[in-house]
This record gives sequence, structure tokens and C-alpha cells, in this order.
Amino acid sequence: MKFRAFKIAIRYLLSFKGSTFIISFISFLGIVISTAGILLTNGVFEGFQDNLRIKLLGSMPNIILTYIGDNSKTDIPKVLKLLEKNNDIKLFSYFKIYHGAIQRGSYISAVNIDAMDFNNKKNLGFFSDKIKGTLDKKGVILGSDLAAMLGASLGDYVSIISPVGIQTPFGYMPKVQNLPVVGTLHSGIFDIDYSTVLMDNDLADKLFVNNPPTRVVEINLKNPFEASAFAKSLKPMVGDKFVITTWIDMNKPLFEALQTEERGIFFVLTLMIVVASFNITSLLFIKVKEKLRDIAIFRVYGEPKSFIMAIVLIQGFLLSFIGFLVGVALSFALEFFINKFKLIHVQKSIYLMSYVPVSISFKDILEVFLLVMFLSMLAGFIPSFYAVRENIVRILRND
Amino acid sequence: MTESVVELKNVSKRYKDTVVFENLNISVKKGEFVGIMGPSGCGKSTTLHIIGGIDNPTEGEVYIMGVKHTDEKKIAKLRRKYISFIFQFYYLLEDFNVLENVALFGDMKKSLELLKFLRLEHRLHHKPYELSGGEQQRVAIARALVREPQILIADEPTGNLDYKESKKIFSLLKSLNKESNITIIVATHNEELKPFFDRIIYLG
Repeated sequence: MKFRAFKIAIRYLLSFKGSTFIISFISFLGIVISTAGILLTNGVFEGFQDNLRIKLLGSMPNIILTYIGDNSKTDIPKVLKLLEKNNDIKLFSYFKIYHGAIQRGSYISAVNIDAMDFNNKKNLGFFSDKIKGTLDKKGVILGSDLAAMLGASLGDYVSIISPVGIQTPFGYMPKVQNLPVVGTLHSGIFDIDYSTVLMDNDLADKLFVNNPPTRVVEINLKNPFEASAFAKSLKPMVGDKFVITTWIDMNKPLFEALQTEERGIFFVLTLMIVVASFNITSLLFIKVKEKLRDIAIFRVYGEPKSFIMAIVLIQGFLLSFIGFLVGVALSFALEFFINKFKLIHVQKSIYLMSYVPVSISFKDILEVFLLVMFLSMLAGFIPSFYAVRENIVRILRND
Repeated sequence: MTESVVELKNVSKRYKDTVVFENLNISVKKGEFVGIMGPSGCGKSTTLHIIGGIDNPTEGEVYIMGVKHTDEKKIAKLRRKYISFIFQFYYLLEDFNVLENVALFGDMKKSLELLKFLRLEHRLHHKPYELSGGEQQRVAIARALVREPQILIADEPTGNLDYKESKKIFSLLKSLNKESNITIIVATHNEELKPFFDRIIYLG
């Protein structure tokens, strides 16, 4: 019975007469445009988030262990040894962070001094491939934006100020040391490039002699998306002497905000499909009106009401389904063009990327599919009830 | 004694203030070829609609193959299996060709056989509007017979046809009645067709 209903529904759908054709086309177009609209908008959000994740992962460590114990000389080497043996780790580095200031000419700015072992580039861990210049132990490496702001180039001298420097009868006085710029750091993250200075351990320890540093171990994993699970497994090994933070924790508010925005826009765009479904309801009403005599004949021949309703519902379903398929195809075509010609430009200094790629996900397609199918069924229900409610004799007598 | 396939007991039909008929009693036996005759407006079509279970009486009881008219689901099932209709205006499905118009209501092989029997094999893939009135009515007859009904209800089946074509249609119905023992109830106002009927019920 269902196949027969399907056959009849297809024939009725393809029977275009005057205004029915225009309304069918508008209804179809409504589904196509709303499907493509939702998929593309979500694709922009997904693309933006994916790209942001990649940029963030490329410019920040996956896991940070911050030491909070009081015996760093024994605790930290123990942990570093443990990390060396772990196969999931791509690279790691240990360094101390001092808080100080930098001055060149009349410009002065607060900075983080990352003190590391300049003997080997590998010791710079995550920063190792982001440095332009040399690892001269007698000089400093400035964040690229900081260097630009200070107007400092390679070989220029800058003053590094330790706030708690020399002890005098009046208390601690800042200690200042002029050091040459031997390199610049290009992490891609404005916060880091604007406020970070890299120095060799020995030089920093002497300059910041009375300043207690924050000791951190930064880890990059072979699979950054396993950071949460890895952090969990790390916890019993490092004990309570380290605070473990993953890149996911650090960026949680940002991604949550983006997700909320994506959901909000998805909801608003859903209204487009609702409006398109109204068109389908109108179309099906007209089709039912046109075919009332046929409906009466089917009922005279004892076809159950469910058969008549199926004919109407299948028409709505087919129109929506084909509209959905064309909408998906259109959105993929637009995705290709937008990505090929990099059509969505954004300011790199703010968004870490110069253009936003579109990335349509299977999850989005499935969500839109379910939504379109649900709404098309809903749109077909009222006309289908109307189709079976009409009195057979009245239809035949009026014909 | 042959069983009654249709029984109308004290049936009345009224539309608001208009009385179509009152206290109508009809009993049709299996295999009968019954004619319902009377002037226009006497309620011939309404009677057929009630006999076929597509309309309900205002008063009285109707039994179709032993099922009371109030049991709508069972009556619809009876219509699907045992009762077929032929109308004056044929009511063929415009979007389907001749063969589909018949096969949609039954088996494809049987449809082809019937259309061949009704001399429509050259029209199988034509749309209804491409056929003459007589041809359209023969398609409607094929549609009515494809389910091998036990009761055939025909409302003015030759109302739109000339006498020659009407006679052909009635001869066909008569032969079906004799050969397949189908109960046929026909409403007509054409007095010339009276000889075909086993029995005539006059209304009005």
C-alpha cells in the first residue's frame, strides 16, 4: 500500500498546473535556501573554531604544570625524568617565570621574564621553532610585538628591571641591567608576543635574585585533543605539588561563548525552515483541493484514511527531502568557493587568522536533515487531515 | 433461498428540511441485476450511496453483506474487497494513464486482461482526456471489476452516452452478471434499458 501511495504522491507532485508550479517551486526554493543558509552559517562557526583551535594549539602549550611545592630542587627533576619516559609527549620544557619590567628610551612596560636553559634550543620546548635570532646567553629574546613597540631590533640594548633587586637601608631597590636583543619570539598570540621576554636561566637568576619565580613545565602532546585524559593520568604521578592546566581549560570560556553563539544563530536560522514549511503547508492545501475528486474515488474504493494521509505526507516529505539535498549540494559548492577564494576576511591581529574557512560538518547536516524532515511532516499533517475530513458524497456531488 | 447482500430497513434520508425519501425498504439478493428508476431528484443516487456505504441514512438500518452501516471501518473494508462503483462522470484519475487508472486499484495482469476484454488495448497509455465518453466509461468499468467485486453499484453509468453505446455497456454488465454472478445495482432514468434488469425498484 505504501509503495502505491508513494507512486501516487510522486505523480501528484509532478503534476504542475499554473500557480501550483510556482508555489511548488517557491516552497522547494525555501527549503534549499534555508538548508544552505543554516549549513553555511554553522560551517563558518565550525571553520572559525577549528582554525582557532589549530592556531591556539600551534601557539600555546597543551598542558602547563605549575609548581606550588616548596622543594623545587628535588620535586622538579623527578617530574622531568618521568616526562622524558612518556611516549605520548611530543616535547616539554621547564622554565621559571619572573615578573619585571622592560625599558627602552622613555618607554617602560611590565613583562614576564621566562628564564630557560639557552644551552640547547630543545630546552625552549614549545618556543623552540618560534624564535628568530640566536640563543646568546648574554642577551634577551623579545616577543615580536613588544620589540616592535619598543622599536628594538637585533643588537639594540634594552633595560630589564627587577622590582626586588638590591637591599638598601631604605628597603629593596629595583635592579637594572642593560642587555642586547638577540632574537624575537613569534608565537602568534598577542598576549605572549606583547609581554614576554626570554632569558637564559643563569642571567635571570642573578638579576632577579630576590624575586621568587613561578616554576612551570610546559608539555606538548602528540595528540593535543587527548590533553584532558593525559592530564588526568598525570595527576597521580605529580601529586599535589603541581597545578595541572590544559589548553582546553585555558580556552574554555572562549569556546563555550562561541558554541552558545553558534546555537543561538542555529535557532534563529531554524525559523527560516519554519517559514519554508509554511509554504509547503499552503502548497499541500492547494494540491489537496485540486485532487479532492481523486481522494473521494480512493475512499469510495475503500482505501483507508491512512492511505490518503500518506499520499499528502509523502508529497511534503519528497519536496523537503529533495530541497534538503539540493541545499546541501549548494552549501558544499559555496563552501568550496569561499575557501578557494578566501572570501571571508577578518583582522589577523584580533582573530589570529586573516580569513575564516568554512567547514560543514556531518553533525550539522544530520541536525538540519532531522529538522527539515520533522517540520515537513508537521507541515503535511494539517492538509492531510483536511483531505480525509471532507465528505465523499459532497465532493462527488459538487464535481 | 438466496441470501440478501443488501438490506435497507425503514430508511429515510433528509437534508435539513428537504426529505429525499422516507421508510424505504429494499432487499437485493446475491446475483440479482436490479435497476433503480425514477424521475430526477427522487433519490436514486442517494439510495446507491447508502447501499454502497459511502453515505449514511438519517433514520433506519442498512446491512451490507450482513454488516450494519454504523460500523464504518468494516464497511470501508467491504468496499475495498467486495463493492465497486461506476459513476455517470467516470471519475478517472487525470494524472494517470488508462492502464494505471485500473492497475492502481488491483492487479496489473488482471487489469491488462480486463482492458483487452473491454477493447481498450490500443488505449493503455492514453490519458483519460484523450478518450471518448464510451471509452472512459469502459475504463471505469475495468477499474470497478479489477478487484473482482461481489456487488457492483452503477450510478447512471450511461447518462453521458448515446443509446448505441449505452446498450453496449448494459450488455457488458448483463454478461458480467450472468457469467460471474455479480450482484449489480444500477440507477438509471433511461426506460429503454429496462429489459436488461431482473427487477426494477421505482422511487418517487
